[in-house]
Amino acid sequence: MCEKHSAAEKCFSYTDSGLPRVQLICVVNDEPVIARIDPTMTLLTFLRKELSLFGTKEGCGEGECGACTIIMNGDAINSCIVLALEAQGAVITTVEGLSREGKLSILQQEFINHDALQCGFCTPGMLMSARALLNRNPNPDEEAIKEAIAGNFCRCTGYTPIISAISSAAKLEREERQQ
Amino acid sequence: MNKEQYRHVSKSRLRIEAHEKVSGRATYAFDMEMPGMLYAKCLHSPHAHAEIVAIDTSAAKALPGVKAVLTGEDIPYLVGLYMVDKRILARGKVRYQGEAVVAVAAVDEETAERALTLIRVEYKLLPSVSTIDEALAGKILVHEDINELEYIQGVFFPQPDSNIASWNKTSKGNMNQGFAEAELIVDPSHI
Repeated sequence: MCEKHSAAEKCFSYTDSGLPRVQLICVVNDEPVIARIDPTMTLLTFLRKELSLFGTKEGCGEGECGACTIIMNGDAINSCIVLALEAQGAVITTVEGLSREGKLSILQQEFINHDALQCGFCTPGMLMSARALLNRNPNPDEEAIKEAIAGNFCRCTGYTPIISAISSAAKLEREERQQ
Repeated sequence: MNKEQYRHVSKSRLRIEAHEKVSGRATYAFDMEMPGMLYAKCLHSPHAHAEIVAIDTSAAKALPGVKAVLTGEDIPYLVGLYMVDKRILARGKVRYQGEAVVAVAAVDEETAERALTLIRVEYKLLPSVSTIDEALAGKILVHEDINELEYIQGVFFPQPDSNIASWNKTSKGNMNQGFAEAELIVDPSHI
């Protein structure tokens, strides 16, 4: 890896479309963001190259695989097929926003406990689809979980441990809320 | 044998790198940038079966930031494990929709992508094979050179003048009896 990258500087190349830059204001992981960006830039590229949030992955780049899933205004969306400008005024959460002060969330911890990942490339997207589900439905049945992650492909672990992890996280989160 | 003496055998262990993977901190090849790194993109065949009449890469090569443009003519050999039958880039003809025809390396992804749009490939369509029955009929050969291809003898059994890369016979039990006693028979041929 290059030195600039480890220093979290913007080192990734991006070819500008040449169109006039436009101001984008949004909230990412509870932080306000103001940037002047190329209007043709995707939200995924914005998160990775402008904000250095490399946790969100690009798999297919055409909205099929779900590796780039983030939460925008409460919905799980494919950030690779959304323009950054469409996030004007939006509230966004990425995988980096799931843990607080370095402490993993229950959902992340349950992914580890249930061995719901191997290579881990689909995991950020999987976690975000699961988070969006649990935010709107704290007590999902198996069918609801399957539907929520239907747009996320995993090519190594298989879906069974992922479904158990989400189900178990839902239970633990409900218990925590009751306390 | 006493299991107690082992530190790991028969014990469940959490994945050692799981923490960085669920927090988004894990670094993949896709997240890395090396000094002087180039980005490669391929132009793929839109046709299932076609002759490559001509490829014009001159405009792509002339685009600033493009470092290399390769076609099958630059890679005049075949690769393969059991059978040496695969082209790295199509040469002479394309054999499936999506086969890589031209590869471009450039200073960044966008330049590589732009270079692909400047490449002109002229195809002459050939009749294609799109079902198993058509493939078995063998009237259209996907690998017309099947009789000359190298393969591991005794492991792989290509059938001459056919689309069959390997023919393996396995005989075990009594199939007719099995079907007769089966509770449910699923015929997947319509799927």
